[in-house]
Amino acid sequence: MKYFYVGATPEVDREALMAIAERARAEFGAPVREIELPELDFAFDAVRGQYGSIPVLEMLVRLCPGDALKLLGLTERDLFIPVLTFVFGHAQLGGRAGVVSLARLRQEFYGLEPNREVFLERAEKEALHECGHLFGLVHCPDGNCAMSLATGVRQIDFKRAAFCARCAARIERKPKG
Amino acid sequence: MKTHWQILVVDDEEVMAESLAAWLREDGYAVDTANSGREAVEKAAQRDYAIYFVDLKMPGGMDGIETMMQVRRLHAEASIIIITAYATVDTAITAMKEGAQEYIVKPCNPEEISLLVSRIIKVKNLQRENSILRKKLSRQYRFGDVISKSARMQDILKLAQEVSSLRSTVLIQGESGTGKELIARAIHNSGDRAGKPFVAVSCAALAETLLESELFGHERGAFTGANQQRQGKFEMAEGGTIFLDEIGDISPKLQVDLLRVLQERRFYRVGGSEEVTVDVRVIAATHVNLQQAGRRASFATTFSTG
Repeated sequence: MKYFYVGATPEVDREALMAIAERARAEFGAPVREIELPELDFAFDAVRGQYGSIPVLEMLVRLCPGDALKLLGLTERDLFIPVLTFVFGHAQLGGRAGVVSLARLRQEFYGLEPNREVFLERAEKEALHECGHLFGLVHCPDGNCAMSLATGVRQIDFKRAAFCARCAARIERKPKG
Repeated sequence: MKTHWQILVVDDEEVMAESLAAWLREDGYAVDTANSGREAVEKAAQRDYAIYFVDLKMPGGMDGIETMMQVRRLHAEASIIIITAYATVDTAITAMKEGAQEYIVKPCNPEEISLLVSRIIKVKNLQRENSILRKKLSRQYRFGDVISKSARMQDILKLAQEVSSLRSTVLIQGESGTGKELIARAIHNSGDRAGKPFVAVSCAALAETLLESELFGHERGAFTGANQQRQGKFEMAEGGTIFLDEIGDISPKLQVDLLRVLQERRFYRVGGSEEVTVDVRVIAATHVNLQQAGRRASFATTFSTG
């Protein structure tokens, strides 16, 4: 039996974690297990004041349990890859480990009033997006699809928390093993 | 289809090159990396990349500008984007003067790279379509251009018109000189794929091994003389139609390979291990009666009936 693992670093919003775990269970048809992830201090880049998503992914690959279909990590830390100013998430394309940063999904990051509903919706969409990459999906030209590329929260808000028919058909839904 | 366009990321810092490559792969592009200018030029000699991301400052006597100039000598139409962590007006001017299409400073906003790449690809698609249209201009046929008084021919034209907007594979049978290619072009030009390539291949004109490479392309070193990777006719016809003339003359082995393409629209280049996916409509023609040939077992019956 293979499990879909959803991991969270200690500071992660528990409601977001539960919502994402529930969505993964419903979307991918695999039993979901939750695991605690360590703090990401090791990935902190003092010059940029952000956390490198590559070392975080490397850690997730190391921590990925043997019975894991996929492992999606969640963190409140702001992530980056060296060439870009930030990333909302990062996943191994067709691989086992991915991570979503919740930092830039909050209204307060942009100096706005907090909005819990908007935050949870964005978190779900971004989690689905990274899961899509884990299942081998690339960005979708349909701006409504969860797999469309979002480089800002406006694009995240525009898309639906669901895959378009074409992307959904491409996902291998049956858990291996 | 994005995977049709290949990108090379050149940076001496492996983590920099790999992270940008991974990000572009998520966007659906086929991406390679090189960790020096020399390696980039070697790769450029083997493969025709559409876009190069080149780091300005690289050690080993070959910086980004020198790399760009050498790549330009190999591929004059390549789009080269210089990346640097050191933004000065002087370096930007030098890079643009030497032929860089764009100049970006790292770290850059994800939207900046995404927009840049999609803008370049859009222009390349337009250039490609323009070149195809120019070639086609003198050979454009539609159903109105096919003139016949024969009632049987009118039936055939009506049937051809009906299938023109479908992706179904079409087989046109008829004696030499009866206008099979004319009908094939009319089907292509009247359907959704009219603005896309129509690539005709005469299967009878080439030996089996040559035809295989002609159809599916080959990787560098696949056989003697294969000095660099080459796209086959199926890839060239991306989004459009491939016309396989004299299909009845192909070997049984090639029939099997073609069957897979017809069913799955996927294949491997000769000597390749990377599967290529295409969106191509196949129209085949032959002067041979394939059902009779099938009974004589010289032609797979799945082909003529499937």
